[in-house]
Amino acid sequence: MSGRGIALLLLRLPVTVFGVGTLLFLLLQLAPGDPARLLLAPGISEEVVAQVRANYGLDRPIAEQYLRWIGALARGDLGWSISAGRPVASVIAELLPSTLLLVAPSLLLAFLVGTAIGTWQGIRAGRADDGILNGVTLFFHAIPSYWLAVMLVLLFAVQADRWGWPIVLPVSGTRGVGYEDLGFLQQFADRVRHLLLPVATLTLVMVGAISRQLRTSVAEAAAADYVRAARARGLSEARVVLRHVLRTALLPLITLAGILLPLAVGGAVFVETVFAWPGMGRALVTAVGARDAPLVLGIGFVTTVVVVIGNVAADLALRWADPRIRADG
Amino acid sequence: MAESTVRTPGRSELLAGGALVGAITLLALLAPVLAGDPTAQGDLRLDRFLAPSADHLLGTDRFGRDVWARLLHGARISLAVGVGAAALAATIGTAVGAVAGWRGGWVDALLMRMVDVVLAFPRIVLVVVVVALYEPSLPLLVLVLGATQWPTTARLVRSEILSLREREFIVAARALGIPEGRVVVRHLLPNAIPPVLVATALGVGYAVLLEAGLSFLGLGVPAPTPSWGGMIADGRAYLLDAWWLATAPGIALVLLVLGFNLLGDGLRARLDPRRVG
Repeated sequence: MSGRGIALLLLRLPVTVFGVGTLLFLLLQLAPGDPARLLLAPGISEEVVAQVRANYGLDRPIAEQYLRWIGALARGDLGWSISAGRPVASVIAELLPSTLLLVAPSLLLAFLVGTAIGTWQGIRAGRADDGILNGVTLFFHAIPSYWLAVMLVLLFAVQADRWGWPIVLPVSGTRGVGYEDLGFLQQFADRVRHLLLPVATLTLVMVGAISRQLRTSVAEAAAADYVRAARARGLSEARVVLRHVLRTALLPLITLAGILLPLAVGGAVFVETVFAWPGMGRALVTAVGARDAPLVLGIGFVTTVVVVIGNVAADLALRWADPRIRADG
Repeated sequence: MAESTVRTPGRSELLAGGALVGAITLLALLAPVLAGDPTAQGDLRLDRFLAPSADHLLGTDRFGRDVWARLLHGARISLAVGVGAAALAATIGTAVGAVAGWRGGWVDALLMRMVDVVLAFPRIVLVVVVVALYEPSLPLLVLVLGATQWPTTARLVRSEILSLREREFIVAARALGIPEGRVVVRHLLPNAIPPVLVATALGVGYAVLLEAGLSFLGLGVPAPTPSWGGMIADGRAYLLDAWWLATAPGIALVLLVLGFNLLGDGLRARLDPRRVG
């Protein structure tokens, strides 16, 4: 693939990070009240505020403040969390794995299920089963993650318990009481049980977006001449679909991955809140409640960087997978 | 009558979406007539957590307030924020996209990098950051949700203008000495209306979901103003005894968002018949 195209793509990382840093700086500057106070717990004495103002250089000209801010972000210095009493970077380093543990399997599952449904619909476009699946995915596409999460809790915890179902799923945290005393396999099973409802919620709200995209691209590819030619050559239906239709139809999915990543990270805010999942999304909400502005800004910054890295990775994958882009990149 | 037997693309989606959105809008507009005061508290000993009945169609909440009344008044907030934000996004997006597509060069490059930055932000995270730094209010919600939604529209308008700017009718218009601004507004932008309409209809759905999401997190319009997201959050604590509290506003939310999504899909099928389905 062309080196220039890749260099341009990779350049997007620092440019976007710089842009996000600038946006956060502007938001902080335009916020009502004194930025020094926003960065501190309420009720702090005037001397401390003045001290912080001097320490952070908030008494300097705005251009200098801006350069310092960008410089700190570039060094990975995200400031000091008021509510946790330690550096924001160390708080986030602790939360990030939990969020990834939730988001990664959800994205994977959503892609698998969404691709399967979308392919089925695309091949059978216009028939009755396509119409039914269309209705179902349209419905799930309109469901908010926070409400679906609450409904799953109502069904699989509250009512399951009441109706004496064999499975009553846990609805909060990453592991159960007495986890340390369990054997290795039981520990694993406990973790999976705790993952089930959060992952199911996040997966279900994303499946519709994927299947709807794939339905369109599969239906378009299935009508193409080279697919008719493949059929005319007497290839089996499975071979036609797998080798000829999906090969082109899957390409838009890579672009879609770049769009779904921010959606998944955003959905994690709600899912983590409902299921008391100790990740960045829940921490963001509690940080807002605690008026911990440095932590709020830090989480905003880190989630965006993660998303940008995902986007660039998706674009690189697309260049690798689609020779048409490689040629003119 | 050969024409009448040909199925118009997107017809059923438009009808279903229009019916849903129309019905909910009507209920929202008539809320003061159809339901009582959404903030009136009942007798705290007798009227709390009443199950749905003829007196209270959807039961009552922990303050003995009528859920049906709160639902109808909540629809007003959802619709106001959703439509307001989508309209704002359509305006900003069209303006930015038109300037970027028409000017080209460094103006285009700069505006498109701005689009990248806003799109890179997980929307809910950006919105939460803003609401955390500023006081939440109805105008702020419309502003924030609109200001995070315009990039999609900007991209659509830009690509439409790029594909048309070298066409004969534009070259001819310029050759006739028609001022640039007039060429863009009168000759180019009308062509971008279909994709903008589709994006705006879908945008209302997203904005409605986000507004309710913010209220769910306790960051939306302040209580006691009824909002669907806030009602779901309130009902969460009482799933064991009063399941209808969290269920009813969620169903309303799904129906409203579904309505706008169907409108968007139907418009797209109607305006772009090449698309399959």
